[in-house]
Amino acid sequence: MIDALMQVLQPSVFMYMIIGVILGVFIGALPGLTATMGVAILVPLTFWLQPQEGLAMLIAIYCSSIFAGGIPAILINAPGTPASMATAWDGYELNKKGQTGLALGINAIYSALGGLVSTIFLLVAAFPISRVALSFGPPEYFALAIFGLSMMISVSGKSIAKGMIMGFIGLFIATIGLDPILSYPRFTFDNPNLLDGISFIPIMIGLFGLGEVLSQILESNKKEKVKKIKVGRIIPNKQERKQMRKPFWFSSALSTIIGAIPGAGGDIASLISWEQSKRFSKKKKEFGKGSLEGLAASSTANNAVIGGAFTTMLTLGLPGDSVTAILIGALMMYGMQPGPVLFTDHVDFVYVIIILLFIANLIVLFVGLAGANLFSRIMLVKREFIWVAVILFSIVGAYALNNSYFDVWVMVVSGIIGVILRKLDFPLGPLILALILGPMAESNLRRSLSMSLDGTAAYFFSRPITVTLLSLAILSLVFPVIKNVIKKYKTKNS
Amino acid sequence: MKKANVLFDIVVITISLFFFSKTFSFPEGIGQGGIGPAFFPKIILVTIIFFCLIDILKVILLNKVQEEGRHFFEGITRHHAISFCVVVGSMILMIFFLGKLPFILISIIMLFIQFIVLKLKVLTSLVTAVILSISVYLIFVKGFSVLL
Repeated sequence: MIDALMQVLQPSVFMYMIIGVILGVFIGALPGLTATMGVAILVPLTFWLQPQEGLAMLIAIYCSSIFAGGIPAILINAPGTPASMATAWDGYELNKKGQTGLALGINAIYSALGGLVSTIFLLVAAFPISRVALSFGPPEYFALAIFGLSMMISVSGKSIAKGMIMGFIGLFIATIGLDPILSYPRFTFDNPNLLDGISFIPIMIGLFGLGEVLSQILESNKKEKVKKIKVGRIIPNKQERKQMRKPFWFSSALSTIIGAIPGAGGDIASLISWEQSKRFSKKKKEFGKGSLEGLAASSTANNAVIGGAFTTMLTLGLPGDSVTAILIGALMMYGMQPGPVLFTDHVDFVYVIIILLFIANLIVLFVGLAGANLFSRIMLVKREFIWVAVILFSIVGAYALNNSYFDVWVMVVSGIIGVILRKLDFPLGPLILALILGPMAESNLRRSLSMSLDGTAAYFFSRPITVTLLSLAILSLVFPVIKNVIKKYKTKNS
Repeated sequence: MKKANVLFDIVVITISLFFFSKTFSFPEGIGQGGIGPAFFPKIILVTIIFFCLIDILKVILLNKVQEEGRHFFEGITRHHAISFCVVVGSMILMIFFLGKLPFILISIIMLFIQFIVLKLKVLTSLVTAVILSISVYLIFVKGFSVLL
């Protein structure tokens, strides 16, 4: 712990963290730019830094952009990130009532507090979970990967079929390259660039960086009018704080758990927390009309997801959301494999990450309160400048990873495919999950079968953890389908 | 959107069938319960085809397209299409010339073209293109020794 603290308490780490916060606030405050995009295009830049410096920047971008997504939601009713959708419902109403400062203040304070509570959860829960996970063998890892993959349905959006198509395309891309057991080249077409498989980060940069920008260029038609405004009082008074206490604790706990579920991100947590807080509130009617409780619940939920997502990522190697999926790639880039082994081989680094999360959330609090007057000016920046900068960073970033032009082409093709997929409403979440979990599922299935005496699947059913995880996977696959059928049946009848 | 959706599914099915045919040349798995390098890709490709067929059936038979009536090119004006093509074209040209021409030169040209097509003022575009290109050059080439 002391070693970790010494690594973090370096001027360079703080410098990169502040750069990360500034970039994150820009990314979050500009509608259309997401935390995933910001982290994806900046991962290659951090490759050249010390791991603690690089992660300081990425974690700062993550925490601050999620919080900053609430700023345009409050000021112009346009959520900066999908996670701040519910923030707009009450935040914008407060703005219209002339309580802009209070709304921005609540967003900053409760985002930071939510982030801090979930980081405490990470600190408390990560080590016991990792100890359990250390006893995992190939069958358990296979079951864990299948459980993670079963979440493809829950992140499929409107169409389960489309989500499954994307997920299985991701799984297929993960099979390209040398076979994990026999090292036989698969679908490489004698191209040496494909022997190690298609690198995951250029695909992410393409889909979430370039793809997002190209989609916006293709369909940009509305320009939100932003005016410089006087924000007024920022800090909520004692009575207001008392009013928000209950939704804050409730939302923190709920969102941390949601964040820990693979594939479930801030958008889901924020919506569920807002709805549930409304259900338990005495002032239900105020929700959506400028309720302080509603705003506190959604603001808390945004950042409370982060600690939960990091818990799953660090202990089990499963991505909690799309940003942690990229961070898994970043950790691998630094030579660390997220999962229980991280807690034995690089335990000091686990502490580094936890400390960085604490500091990042504290900086969010400071920046959120101190910069309230500046936020409306950030949105005056023309999006065109950001678009072109993102394109340049995407090209250079994809190249800089391995000094490979092949990676740049992978990024460009992914970007263009990303535009088509967005137009056709194909969700990208399942593809990311599958890209990460595909190799884990295949290699561990084949290792497990090699370990079993008769080479049959019966081996899996002799291990309790495997049976539990596979049962959970089946449940999470079947449940949304049943829910869908019931919903359709009810709609038909009504 | 209906036609575009079906077309996309057909393209995915065709590509999947092509890759499926390639899996027959992979060796058998010995001592792994009969699971070799082809096992996983085969299952995945068959599942992709299965779900694409479901998606096509959903669109054609049940006529349940998300956002019914929405056309693939809806919301895209002529200017948007031209901007998109110029941005992608200039980007591809830049990548093609990376390593062949000086980075700063091709970067400034690409950024300037993109700014102009996105309707920004000429002088602002030029100044921003130069500053951005030099900044990226200094960060990556001088700072991180990337061979651009």
